[in-house]
Amino acid sequence: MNTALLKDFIYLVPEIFVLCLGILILGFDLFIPERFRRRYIINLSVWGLLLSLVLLVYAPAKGLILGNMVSIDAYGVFFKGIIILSTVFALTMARYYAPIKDEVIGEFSALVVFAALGMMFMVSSSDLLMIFLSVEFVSIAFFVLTGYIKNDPKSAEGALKYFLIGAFSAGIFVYGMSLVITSTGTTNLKAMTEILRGPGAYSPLFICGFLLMLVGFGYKIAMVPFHSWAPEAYEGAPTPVTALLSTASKAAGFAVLLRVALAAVTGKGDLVMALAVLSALTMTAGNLMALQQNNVKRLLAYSGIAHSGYILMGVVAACSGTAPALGITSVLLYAFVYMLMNIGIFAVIIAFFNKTGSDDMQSYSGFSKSNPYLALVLVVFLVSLAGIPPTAGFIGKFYVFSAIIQAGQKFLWLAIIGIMNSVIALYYYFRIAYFVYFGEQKDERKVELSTGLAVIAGVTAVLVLLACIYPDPFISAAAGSVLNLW
Amino acid sequence: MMLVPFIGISAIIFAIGVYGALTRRNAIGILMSLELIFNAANINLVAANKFLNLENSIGIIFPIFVITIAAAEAAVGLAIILSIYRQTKTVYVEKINIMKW
Repeated sequence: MNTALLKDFIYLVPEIFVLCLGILILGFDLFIPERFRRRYIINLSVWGLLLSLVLLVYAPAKGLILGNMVSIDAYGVFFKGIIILSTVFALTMARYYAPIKDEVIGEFSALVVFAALGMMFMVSSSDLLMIFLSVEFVSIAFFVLTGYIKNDPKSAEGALKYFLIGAFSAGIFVYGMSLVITSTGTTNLKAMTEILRGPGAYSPLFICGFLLMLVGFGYKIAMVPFHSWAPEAYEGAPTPVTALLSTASKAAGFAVLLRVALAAVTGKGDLVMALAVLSALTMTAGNLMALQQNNVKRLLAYSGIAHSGYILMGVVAACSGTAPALGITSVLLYAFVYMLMNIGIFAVIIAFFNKTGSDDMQSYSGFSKSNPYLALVLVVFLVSLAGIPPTAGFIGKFYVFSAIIQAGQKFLWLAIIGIMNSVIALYYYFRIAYFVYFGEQKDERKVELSTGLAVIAGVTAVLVLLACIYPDPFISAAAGSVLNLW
Repeated sequence: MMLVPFIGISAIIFAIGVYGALTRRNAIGILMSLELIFNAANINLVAANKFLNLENSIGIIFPIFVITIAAAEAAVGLAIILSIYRQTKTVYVEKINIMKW
């Protein structure tokens, strides 16, 4: 037995802890009577995950471990922080989300924790084999989670569409990987970087392989033209799962995409330009389709596609070779602020759904008259998603745009398209705000806000405002995570 | 090079799989086409291992993981298809459209 390999497991303590937590929840589920399950199991998983967050902060950074399969670095820790935080928020939401019944809450929590584990491996994997395994780990967990509401045809339909597109793009992804492995002769990203510096490394076989791999990543981050699952899955899935899908899953997808893109296409003009075109397509298509939506969850799916386009601008800047550090920082920062505002808005949506049983935009009419505070918080998140100061969304957008402008003249068109898109987005975000404040009040009942949801909405709203008024700690955390990527 | 015929045949199988996945109306049929795509990748990897002498025989190990993942994915997929069949009494994807575009 290779003892050096065994010693490496000490750096995986947070992951091992989360794995044990998942198994513990499954076991615990058997012994707790149904009426206590909701409270105890969610509490156990939330506090367990918070403990793993502490372990994560104190776990030493090492670099490549386990035969260069996994990279333990500050970059991964930053993303793992985003993942664990959004999982904690999503589980807390699930406690107050009625369609998930008491008898299945244990399995549900275990699956969510396992999905978080998969995403933690995803962001730190630095080998194509590990990337494939962890991406599929997460996908399979999310297929099940999306269809979790029993006897709801919408949920099953969302799961089916998510599954078919997910499995299809996974197949294309692994085929692309096989081409990349055939042309470079290695699965390791670090070795690949060195091989690609040599002459003639960018063979047609490699370029085909990389573009096919991009399909797999594109599906994970809901990039046009691989986005069509997003609205269906977001609308059909239980709302806590939607929140998790749109934050943690997307952040993890970007983490692994950026790692691969930095290794494979840094300074390779044509491929970076392909990414830039995809970015422009993604944000434009997302925003234009969001204009016609009436279901708030569906609207947020399209807005999420548009936001993927903005984050892709940061990826383009990182790979352009002229502004790598700023590009990576902007991706990290945007993933974090996007997590905050999306989690917050989904908490408000769940609170509203619990009262009215509806996600339609019209049913938000006159929301401000019955719930002035909650309406105010909702508007803060909408303003942040639109990217207007003084909210976190502005800081995220500011960094992404400055990164793409620093990347050089040839990406200036992308920045212009991005700014035009931000203007389009104003319309549909403020349409919700219009209904909330000026719509005719139909329902005079007050939304009864449970403690957990109030805490989530409050904490994220404060952080969203804080990130713009006093952004230094957020920016320095993101900038500090760029170092030692290899 | 000896590798080229293998890449060619895997590309053909991949193309058949993609065509099947895009044109089939039956969800089970789509699942079967997906298996073809996964197997095209496996052929590539095993051939690469034979002719390029990959480090740690990764070309043999990778397909084992691919096969396992494909099986896991098919299991979850069949479960989802079963649950949708119970509610709508159909597995034809064009008939499963409560949510509009």
